[in-house]
Amino acid sequence: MERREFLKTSTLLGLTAAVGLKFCRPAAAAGELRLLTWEGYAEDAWVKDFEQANGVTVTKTYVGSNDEYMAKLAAGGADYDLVVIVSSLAKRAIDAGFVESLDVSLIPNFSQLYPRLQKVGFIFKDDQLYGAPTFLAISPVTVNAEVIPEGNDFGILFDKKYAGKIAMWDDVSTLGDVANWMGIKDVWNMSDDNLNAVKQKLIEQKPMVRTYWSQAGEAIDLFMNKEVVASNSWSYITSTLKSRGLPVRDFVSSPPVGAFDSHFIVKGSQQRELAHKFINHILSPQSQGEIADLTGYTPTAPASKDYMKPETWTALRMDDVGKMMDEMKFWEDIPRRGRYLEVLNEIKAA
Amino acid sequence: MILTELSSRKPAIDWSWHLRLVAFLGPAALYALVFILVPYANLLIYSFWKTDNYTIVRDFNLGNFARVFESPVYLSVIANSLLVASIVTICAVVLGYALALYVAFFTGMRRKFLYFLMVIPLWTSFLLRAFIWRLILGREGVINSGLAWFGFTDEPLSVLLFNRFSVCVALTYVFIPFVAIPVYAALEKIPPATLEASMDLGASPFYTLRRIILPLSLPGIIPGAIFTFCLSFGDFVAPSLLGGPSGIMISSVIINQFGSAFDWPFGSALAIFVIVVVGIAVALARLLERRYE
Repeated sequence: MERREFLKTSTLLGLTAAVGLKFCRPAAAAGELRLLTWEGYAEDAWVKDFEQANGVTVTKTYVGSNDEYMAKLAAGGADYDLVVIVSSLAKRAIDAGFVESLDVSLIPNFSQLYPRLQKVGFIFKDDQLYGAPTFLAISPVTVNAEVIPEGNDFGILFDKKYAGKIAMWDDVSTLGDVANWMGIKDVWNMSDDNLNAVKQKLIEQKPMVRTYWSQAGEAIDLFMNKEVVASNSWSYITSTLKSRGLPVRDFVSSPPVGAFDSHFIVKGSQQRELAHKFINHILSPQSQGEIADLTGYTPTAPASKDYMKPETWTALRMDDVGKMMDEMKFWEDIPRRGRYLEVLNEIKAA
Repeated sequence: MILTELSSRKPAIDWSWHLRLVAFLGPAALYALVFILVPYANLLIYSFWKTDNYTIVRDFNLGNFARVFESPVYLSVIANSLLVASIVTICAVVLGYALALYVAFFTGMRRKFLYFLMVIPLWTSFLLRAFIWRLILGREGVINSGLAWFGFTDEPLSVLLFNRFSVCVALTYVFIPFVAIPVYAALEKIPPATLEASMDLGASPFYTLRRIILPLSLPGIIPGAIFTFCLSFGDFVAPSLLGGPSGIMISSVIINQFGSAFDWPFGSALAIFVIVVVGIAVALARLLERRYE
């Protein structure tokens, strides 16, 4: 076969396949709300109520990482009505036009949120609200309480006493955690000098680091197998370790660093009204309380106290959360995200 | 008049020929197009573009390639990947060859069964096989528990895991079958008469191995070594699970670009760069093969 013949034939076949794929995209059914969210954020316990009250079905697609939904939205988010986006990517999603503004008058429960969350800048654009903060996640340091019974300083992660038994999260937010501990103010938009100082600090720390982890399961495994005794972490990791019987405790650095996840309406959604109803439903103190009880996520509506078990309120340290709310450093957009990632790689390659 | 003449001279299209072409070569052409041509062309095109907040800007530039050289991190990570891939290839070739040699010549009736055992590890997931090494090499792992039980050590050894050593051990283990299987296939094809003739003429077993067996099994060694080299160079599971603080390899950096950095163009440029590096390495291996043929 001649080359030209081959190319002609293959182009023809390729085109046929491409056209075929084009017509295979899933379409939205009437009365269906399509959610792109994390597992646990849309449990039957509170989704069923919503479905029955409105006579609709909610279909859920779960993501495994923050990058995943951003990639899905970048590829054209027409397959979803609602998406949950982390605070550090909120501004990017809004600026990229992935999401639509919200109509606050359709979300009466918005006023039940912590006041700070109702006015945090990066969920707004041109004074229009885009995201509804739904769950908080404060970044703790998890330590093995048998080895480190005392001390609530982030500096434990740099203590020579624990050399070889320290783990760090392989994520840009670790740079923010360390910068915050070093007293740097603008942790998500550091100058080159500050960024270099953080990099040096982490390079100095390297000989004491057992490994960097990227999945929560890995961190849990490292603690369980006694490979490490301290790591910057997630509350989920602490609670899982506790439930497996390992004596661990965690503490929050001062000022605390944390993220929150918000619900956004995907650009071009045909279910705007229903989506607003869902947001209002999930922000209600009752749903928030149920969610906290069931999944251990930190709610954003303080009135949820009346709807959760008292022990859940204590375990989530909600009294402290309330007190810390105003000084908390939320994960924000990192304008030089590429550079931050490069620094992280430079530390690992050093 | 001229026009009609011209049109009548035009050869008729032989549709049956075209149909046969599509039927016989269509699937292969489609495969090549969908799985080889389009992805690589796509990668190459992307590597000349740039991003602006989750949008790919189709603005031709060579900035991505310049960036590979601007920060020392990328070349040093590629160097580390080359080093790991070379160590793994050498270890896997030596061990895989020894294994294939043993199974092919010294096992008699058990040969088929042992060959079968050699293939079995390929049935389990790669991730699982890499992860298992955490349990073997870890502080509370099999080796450390064994050493402590025999009283050789008081404190568990931490040098076994989370460094280049553990990455190389896991990758060597994973890739031994990739060498052993093609080598075994090559060894099986060597006529016993050749070996007998060599021995009859007074050659020592080692001389026979070096002059007869080794050259004749080269068609098994080279592909095995190339597979091992390419796959271990591009691996990201073992370094991220077992590499520890310094074990970063190039695939992790590339995945970063397609993930949290959302810099597909730069990721593509890195990938193209890696393809070129690996391509050169493979070409060198081919050259070597030809020299010994």
